[in-house]
Amino acid sequence: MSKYYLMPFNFCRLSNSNELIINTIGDYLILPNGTVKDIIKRNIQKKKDSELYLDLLSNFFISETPINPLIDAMAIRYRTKKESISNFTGLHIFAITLRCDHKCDYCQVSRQSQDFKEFDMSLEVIEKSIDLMLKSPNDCLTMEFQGGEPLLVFDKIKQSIEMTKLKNSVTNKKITYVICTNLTHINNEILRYCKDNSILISCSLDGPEFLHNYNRIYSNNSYKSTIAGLRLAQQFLGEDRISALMTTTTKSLTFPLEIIDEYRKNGLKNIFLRSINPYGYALRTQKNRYTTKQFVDFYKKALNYIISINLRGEFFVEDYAKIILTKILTPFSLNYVDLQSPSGIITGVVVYNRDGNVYASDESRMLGEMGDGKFLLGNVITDNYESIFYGSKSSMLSKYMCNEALAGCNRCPFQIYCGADPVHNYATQGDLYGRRYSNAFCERNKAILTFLFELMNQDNDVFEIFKSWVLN
Amino acid sequence: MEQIVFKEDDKFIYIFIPQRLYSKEAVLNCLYWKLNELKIRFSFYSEKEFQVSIDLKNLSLHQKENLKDTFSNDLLDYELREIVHRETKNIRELIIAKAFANGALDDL
Repeated sequence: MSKYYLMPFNFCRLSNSNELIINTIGDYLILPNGTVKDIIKRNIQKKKDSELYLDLLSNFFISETPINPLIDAMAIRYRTKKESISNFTGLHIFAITLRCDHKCDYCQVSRQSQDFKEFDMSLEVIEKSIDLMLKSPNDCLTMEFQGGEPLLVFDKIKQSIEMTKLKNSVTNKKITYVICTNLTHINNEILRYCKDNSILISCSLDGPEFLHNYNRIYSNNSYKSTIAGLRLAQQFLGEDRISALMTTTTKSLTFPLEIIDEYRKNGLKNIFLRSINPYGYALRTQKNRYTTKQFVDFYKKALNYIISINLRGEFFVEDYAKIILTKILTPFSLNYVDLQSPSGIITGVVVYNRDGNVYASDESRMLGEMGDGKFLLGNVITDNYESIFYGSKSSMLSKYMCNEALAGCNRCPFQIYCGADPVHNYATQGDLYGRRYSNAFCERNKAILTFLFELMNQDNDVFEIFKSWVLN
Repeated sequence: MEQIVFKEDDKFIYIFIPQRLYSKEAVLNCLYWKLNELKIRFSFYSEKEFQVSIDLKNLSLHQKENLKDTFSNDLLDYELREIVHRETKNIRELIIAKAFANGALDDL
């Protein structure tokens, strides 16, 4: 029996007779079946199994002393992985209007006709929301305009940005502005303002014309408007200033390759393969109901295709994989609120609704619009920063925001890469704590994480591609 | 009894698990992941054994065979996880405490 001490780690089995072990700080090793048992039983010999022994030692799976001499380095690595906690809320979403000119089946929001101006955010709410945003301890903020369709109220966006710039001359925060739009109302004047103020544009593109128009209902041809707007924005702002998002509907599941090719055809270098949020208005019809397994199959086909594109020398990134791979292959995490523990709600994102209500996330706002105020933190007119961000509602929610303390997550090897999502738990299972054994968030993330590890382990060329995504 | 024993009547599958080999935490963590498809009861059968009773109602033959094939290995994996968890609890807590102590625990 060898003399060494175990360090905290967890493990799972991969499909190719290997064991994947991952430690507290996110380092991993893939080992032949049976190795974990040998490690625990102290059967790994320093001389006889020198290569494995040194791998385990240098990657913090075992230690030769009860307290590893590098424990302070491990603590710094852990803190780096959890950097988002120290920064606090960085993404501030302004739902500046509920009005929209589209009637997409999967829309989470209770959109209103484009003529109903009472569904726009008032200047008073805008100013109070900006004041709250600038009180965030985070030095780098993102002010994101969503809707409805925010370009229906472009004047209000301009007023918001000018007001923010004025107020920020005192607070001196670095602020990134983003407009999420369907691009039907984009024009040279708007783009000139975007260029002058370094505003990023995020648009929706669901795939080829037949699919995009099937998903995104518009009185005219949504696809043609979007592509025309995309071209104009790319010419005006540069290709790196505009990104596109897709939502996977039941119909999308059959066309992973066509969706990716549509993105490539339009000069986009990345795609975020997003599943539909399985609750709220998005599920009004059977059209958007599919199983997690169906989505994961779609995701795997799409990712394999993207890898084949990269193997042919074209740089093209799948963004969800990139977020996860950054956690796996670097000491850092990208600020993606859905995969954080503590959860990214409140600590990473808040939403200021057009009526002044502040919600813990975009999905929380959707629940609020449906009459469920479970994640309503307060109102910008009547409440102050402390009561909204540190009040009783935030305190209550924080009990469910750490996956380290959730049944099912507490022994999961992917815990450090994954997150807690009480909004998803509540919306899909009626319970903030959630039940991991029947939870779509858990099923999807475990399947994708396992797939990424298997891909990296099977083919060194794929590993190199993944590294290039993370480093760019 | 030094091994997992399966018994069956017309209503339940009974699994008897020696406490000398498996902890309650390992058994509960293992059973947790089966709650979506199985109706399970857990009890202390004796001072030496846990008893897990699985309702056969709505259980297909395939599910039943699969359960018998995989349960022992699944439980062994959870026992291994539990050993690591127990042995490393203090060091894990120390890493997390140091991470957010802003240097206050540097001497530990």
